Amino acid sequence: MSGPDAREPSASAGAAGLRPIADFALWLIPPLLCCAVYWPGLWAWFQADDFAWLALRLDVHDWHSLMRALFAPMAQGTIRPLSERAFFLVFESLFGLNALPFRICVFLTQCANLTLLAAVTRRLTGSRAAGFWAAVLWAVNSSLVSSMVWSSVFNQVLCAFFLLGAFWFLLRYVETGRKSDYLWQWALFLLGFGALEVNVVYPGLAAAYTFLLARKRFRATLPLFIPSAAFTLVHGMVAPAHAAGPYALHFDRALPGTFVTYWQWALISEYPSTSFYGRMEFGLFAILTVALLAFAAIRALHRDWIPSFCLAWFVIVLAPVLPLRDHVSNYYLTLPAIGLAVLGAYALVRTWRQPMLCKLAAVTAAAAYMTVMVRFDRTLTPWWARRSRAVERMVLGVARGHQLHPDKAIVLDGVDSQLFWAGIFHHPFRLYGVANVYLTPGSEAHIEAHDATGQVSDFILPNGPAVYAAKGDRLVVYRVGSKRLKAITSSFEQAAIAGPTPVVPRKVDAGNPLMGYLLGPEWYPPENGARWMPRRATLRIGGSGSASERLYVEGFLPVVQLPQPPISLRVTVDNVDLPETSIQLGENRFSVAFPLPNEAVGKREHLIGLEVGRTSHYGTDVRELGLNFGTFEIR
Amino acid sequence: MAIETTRRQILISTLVLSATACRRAEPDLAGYTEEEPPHLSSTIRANDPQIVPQLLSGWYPAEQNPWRWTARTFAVALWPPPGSAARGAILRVRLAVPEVLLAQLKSTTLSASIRGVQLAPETYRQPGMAFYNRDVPASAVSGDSVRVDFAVEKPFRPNVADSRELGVIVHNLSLETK
Repeated sequence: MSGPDAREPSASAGAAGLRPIADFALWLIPPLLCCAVYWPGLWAWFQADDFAWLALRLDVHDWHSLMRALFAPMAQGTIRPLSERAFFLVFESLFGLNALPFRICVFLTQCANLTLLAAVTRRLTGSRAAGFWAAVLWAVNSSLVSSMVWSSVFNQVLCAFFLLGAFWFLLRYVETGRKSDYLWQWALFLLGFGALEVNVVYPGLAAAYTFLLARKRFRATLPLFIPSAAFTLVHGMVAPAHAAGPYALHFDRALPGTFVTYWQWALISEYPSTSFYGRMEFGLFAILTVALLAFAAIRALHRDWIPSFCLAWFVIVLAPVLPLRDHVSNYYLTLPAIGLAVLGAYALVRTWRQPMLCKLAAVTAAAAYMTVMVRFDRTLTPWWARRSRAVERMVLGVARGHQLHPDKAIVLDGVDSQLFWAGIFHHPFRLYGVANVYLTPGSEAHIEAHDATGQVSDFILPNGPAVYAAKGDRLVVYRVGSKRLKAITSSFEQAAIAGPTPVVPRKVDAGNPLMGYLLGPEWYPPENGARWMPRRATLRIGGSGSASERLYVEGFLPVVQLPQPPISLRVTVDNVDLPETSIQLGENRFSVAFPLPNEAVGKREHLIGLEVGRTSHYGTDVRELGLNFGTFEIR
Repeated sequence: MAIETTRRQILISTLVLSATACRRAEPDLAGYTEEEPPHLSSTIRANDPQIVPQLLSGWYPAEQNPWRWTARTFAVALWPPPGSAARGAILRVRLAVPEVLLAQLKSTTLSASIRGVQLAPETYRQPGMAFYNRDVPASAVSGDSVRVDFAVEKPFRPNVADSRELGVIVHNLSLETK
């Protein structure tokens, strides 16, 4: 191994007694520092994507559905059975919706990671001090904030555990040649696929390390590429790459720019201050960049390849996320930042033996880096934690509202962007068995739009149903407050009823009980967000404004065991026949678009008639069922 | 080997029990909302145990059904919904007329009155789901509570074993602002 002059001299006899204590402190301080910096994250509740993982439990009924919950690719193409599926399923089964055990697990895993990183760096550099500083520099890096406050990002923490663990066994294997170390490396590497897709880069790390620093073991790393290639192949087949959207891959001229952004975030955090202090941070960014690259170059000239390997770590681990041009995220740096932390620690320790001026410069740069990062961590971690607590108050308030008013829809007023995008958008209320939760009409004015992610309007209760519900006392309205939800039903109902007569909505959700007044008497009661029709049914819908608009009809199809002929659907608009269509069984849902007749253009509302060619009985249901509809929309 | 197996079983059992013991009880949600003063409901689901105090007279137990048999005369108390004192209201009753009833009586007629205002009766001759929807004048729906009295013209006596005097089957009823 290169860099032997980094190794520390043996302790004198007088210092021998203090050595175990000092050594223990070197192991203990980084985890303690991590807990201190991210302390609010320990007390955070759930938010955003967490609710999708928590809802997995609702879909698990038997062995088959468990396997599906564990391994079926999600919308963004991820398959992370250990860090997301199993983590949430097991912890929720054991602890319910108590977030603390989830958070403790994340913190303990990260403490283990810091200890592993210290151990890896010690072995790599031969320096206890370097091990200590690598753990410290990584612990405060701003890329860890999301991981330390948001349970969904446990995938980064767990993947770090497997990567560092596998690499630690590789280092042992390089030193000892023991087969058991080699096999342990394999075991941890393979488990890493259950944590995060980025695990595929581990063979690259192992190969780079052995090529640069332990050439005789290089060949032993090559078989590691086989599982990575197989995983990439299988993953590509079961979770095809996105052609558009935030998770689409872009191999274009944006790559260097994305790389520089990540490099900057790794050194001075994501949101440098815009004040004079901020300009200082950009100065620090330049200094750190030059210093680290110069250090790596100088050491390379001395045939010390450790810094080069650290830079390679950063590049190799970052490579899989670089093409995600439209989804540049700070937490993607969690794993690449390990390489820079080791590099920084190694540089610090090496420079410590240089003249006073160099030593002073290195210490100043390290202190400046830590100041910038801790300032960021201490600002953003409480922000994330507060946001999760606000989501908790809202979700538990809605659960309480449902407890008190089980037959009424719940309408929330005063929801802002944070509560919407971190909470409501992810349907957290279903975890408490609450289905009908809406936002008051006009709420969209206070919520930032993110059309690529979703439509706020899907969650707003339109004026018409709001008035209908108010007249029948079918809802309870709460205003979101800083401490609890405050019921404002009476004033909302009075204002809704006193207001102008609302227009008939252009989107009718048949499964929404508050829109039942738009449906004819033939329909069956709503079930699971949809509603069955018998052979014939009618509904009213808001009028079309132009001839180019169409009627979009969506619905759900039952599971059929045997092939069945399609169901013909005849639709009329104001008694004018539209082209008949056939609905094929076998899929989960159907979607049909109809052109509107010329006579319909300009009318304030339309009467839609529906008739199916045949009805069926499904399972033990004795009802005569036609089709199960979701939404009707004119747009 | 046996001792080893037993130890392993004890260890696994301990771990499982420890994990189960850590499970938090259902959270007490009492402090998460600030409610308005309680009032009667303007919508009644016949099998909802919470609305039993609003079933004033003439109702038989729901048992396991989503509906209740009524007596020949029955009454409920409803909350006049917002705006109904100014605009008037609509009384909606969703009921069922069973075949056995029509086999005995041929038809059945339901009528209602609110604060002395008689609402027009309706006669049912077909079995199945039925509705009794009537406009209620604004003058009859003021205050915090409205008593609605119903009457069925002819009582239904199921059989010798069941000597109850029955009216109709009610699923739900409501008072809505016009």
